[in-house]
Amino acid sequence: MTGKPEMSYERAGTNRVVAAARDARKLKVFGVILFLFAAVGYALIRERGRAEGPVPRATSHAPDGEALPRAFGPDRRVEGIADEDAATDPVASVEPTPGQVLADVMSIDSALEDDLSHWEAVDWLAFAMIEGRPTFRVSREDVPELLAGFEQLRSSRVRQFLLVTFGALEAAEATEVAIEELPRPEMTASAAYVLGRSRDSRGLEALRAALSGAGPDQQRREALTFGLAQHGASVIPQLVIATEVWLLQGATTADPLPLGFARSADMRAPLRAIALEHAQPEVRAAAILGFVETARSERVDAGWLVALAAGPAEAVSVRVEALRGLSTLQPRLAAEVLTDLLEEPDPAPELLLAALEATRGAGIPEVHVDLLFELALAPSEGSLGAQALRALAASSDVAVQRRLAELLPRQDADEQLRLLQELSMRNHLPHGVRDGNALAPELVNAVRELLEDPELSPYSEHQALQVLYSHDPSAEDVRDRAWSFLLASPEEERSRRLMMVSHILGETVNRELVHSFRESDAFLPRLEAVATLSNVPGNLERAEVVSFLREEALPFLRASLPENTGASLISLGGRRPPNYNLGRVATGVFGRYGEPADIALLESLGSSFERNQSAWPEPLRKAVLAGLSESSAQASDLIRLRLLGRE
Amino acid sequence: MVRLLVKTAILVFAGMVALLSEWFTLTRPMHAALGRWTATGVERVARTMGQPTYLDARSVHGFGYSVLVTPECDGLVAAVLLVTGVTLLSLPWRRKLLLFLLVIPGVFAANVARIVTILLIGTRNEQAADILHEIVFPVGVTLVLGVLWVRWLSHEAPRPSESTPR
Repeated sequence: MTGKPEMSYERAGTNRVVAAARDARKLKVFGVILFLFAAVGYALIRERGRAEGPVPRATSHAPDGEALPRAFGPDRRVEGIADEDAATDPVASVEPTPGQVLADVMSIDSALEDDLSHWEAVDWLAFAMIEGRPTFRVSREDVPELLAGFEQLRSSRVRQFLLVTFGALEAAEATEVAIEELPRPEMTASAAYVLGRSRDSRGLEALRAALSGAGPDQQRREALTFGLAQHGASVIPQLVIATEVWLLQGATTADPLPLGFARSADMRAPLRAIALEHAQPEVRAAAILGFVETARSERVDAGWLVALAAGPAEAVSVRVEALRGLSTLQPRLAAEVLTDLLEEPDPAPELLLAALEATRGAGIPEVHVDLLFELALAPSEGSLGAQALRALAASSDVAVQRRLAELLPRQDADEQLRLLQELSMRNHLPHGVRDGNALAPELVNAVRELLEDPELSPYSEHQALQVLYSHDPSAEDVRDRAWSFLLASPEEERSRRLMMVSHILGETVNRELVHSFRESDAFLPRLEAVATLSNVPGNLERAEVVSFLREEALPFLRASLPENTGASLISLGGRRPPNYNLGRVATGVFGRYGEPADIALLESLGSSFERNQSAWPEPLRKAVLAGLSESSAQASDLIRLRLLGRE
Repeated sequence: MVRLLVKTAILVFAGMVALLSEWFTLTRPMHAALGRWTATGVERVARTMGQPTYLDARSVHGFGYSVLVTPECDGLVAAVLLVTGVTLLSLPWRRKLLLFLLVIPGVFAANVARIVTILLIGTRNEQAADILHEIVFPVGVTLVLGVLWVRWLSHEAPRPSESTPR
């Protein structure tokens, strides 16, 4: 025999046992290795899927992962929504009633988001109305018709809005209603505004009586005094006394002082006299503010403010207020004051700040450019540096913009963001103090180069896109970059980013929104698409969008709102952007396109909520219910307003 | 040994198919349905535990935190692996049937429990919930599956006693 020696029967058996045991061990090791490979492979596939976008995160709160990402892209076309822009609203050809006009105004631009319980909000809205009077198609003749429907209205926001409208129209007919509303805390500011503007003696009496009984409630006193200040020159002595009392109580120039509430043109001369002659600097400062406030929408002579602003012997508070006034009324005069100011030894920082703010609208005199760059770059200058940067960014001077272009790449991330914000704010400068939004090519290139930086934060990227868009709204590459900005966003950021860049993307975004609405099987993503679609500027004038909202969005809301009242949880506690709000979308769409039959549905939402969300904790349920009831009251009020004056 | 390799290959193949199923047009509706059921389960459990919730298709929204049951998180991969593993086990069919009854509801119950935990913690501490979702649970599930896999191999490997000739 050659080869292996023959083994005994027992020996051979033992060897087989040992070999099998060895095999089992090898198998275990093989199994562990294979499993590890599988686990790593799975993790890699998952990671890759996530990086590419279509696979949403498991804990993403975006309700439907696959609907949006694949749908987005500039070249997609969705059937059912026309490509061509329609010039007119299908309902615009019929002359709207005053109620329809107001309902339209209230259903867009989140007009009802602002609580008009505070005089400043009332003042802001009233100013916008008075400024926009030529295009605001409601007049004093319409007041009786609107007043007739006032009692039917349930939402306090709608009632506040209507009162401010009456005040803006100086409607004496609304005095009775305003007197009735005055005691309600949420209505005091708007009612006081009506009573002051109506110039009715009963209104004045009611305001005086309310003021004397107002007690220590500061907000109420401010609202009533604001109303009183609308009445005209005859109330000036009272305003002076009130201002002195408030100063005695510890108010500073930063607080609102009653003389500063003035809005009536016939108060200008007496206010000017107080500003020049009164013994107390703070009263003079408040009178200057009041003077400026009476002239917000007119051109008035503000030359007398130069002497006050530039006078070294004047109190700082007076000079600061005079400078602020100049920046509003005659910004070019403010630049002269800045020159004088810089020649003074050691000028007060608040004065410099006010002067810089003033020059923002006037353009920077060349001699100050170096100083402003010094201030803007000094690390410890705080608000003075920020103001200097603002003034520089507002400048249309090519040399200044070239220097900013050199500065931009050398700044750190925070500084870059600040400069980009200031550059994009150029948009908000009043016309006449800027020569359009055109920027020097060097600055545009610097911003473009910044966009190539992969480390750039989304906030800076957005601001850079804003700057480029305001420089040239038709630039294709800016639109493409906006798409990339949108597509690169994580799931939970997408709707926020869509809102940020929808104006840059223009009409194309509508098709994508309609597509995502039709593709999704969940309520919230569809609601979100409707909300965004309604909020894209100019969309409500586009016939195809209007018909989509009427024919698809409204039926969808009618069918799904009662079942989805729990979605209100999102607007209270979710991580969603503020526009993601059930009530607001409902108010917008129903308020604009709803029919009388929808009122019953809207008013039953509260009871649907009570039924669906009975398991929620009591305090949460109360809070959500309050918001939901207000939103549905707003929506049904807007439908009611549309019905006014229609047979 | 060959039989074991074939079984392993079947198991790996089933795992791969399950893993890739979220990208197959045919299986996507299955994931969608599974996501809805899981989300419904999560919402009911969370609601029973006194958590204010709102269910929207495959999403469950809590107060301040929300979860979306995506295909990779609906438990299908684990269920397919375990069911295939049990099917391939060298056991009488009656015992396999018992194991199926244990494994299938077990996987989905465990998944619901996992998501409820993430949701409940997320409404209180978002960061902790993210750590739980991104690290703790994936590692935990991997370890459990690893242990089961090694036990499966031990069970299926040819035993020394079986190889011993009589």
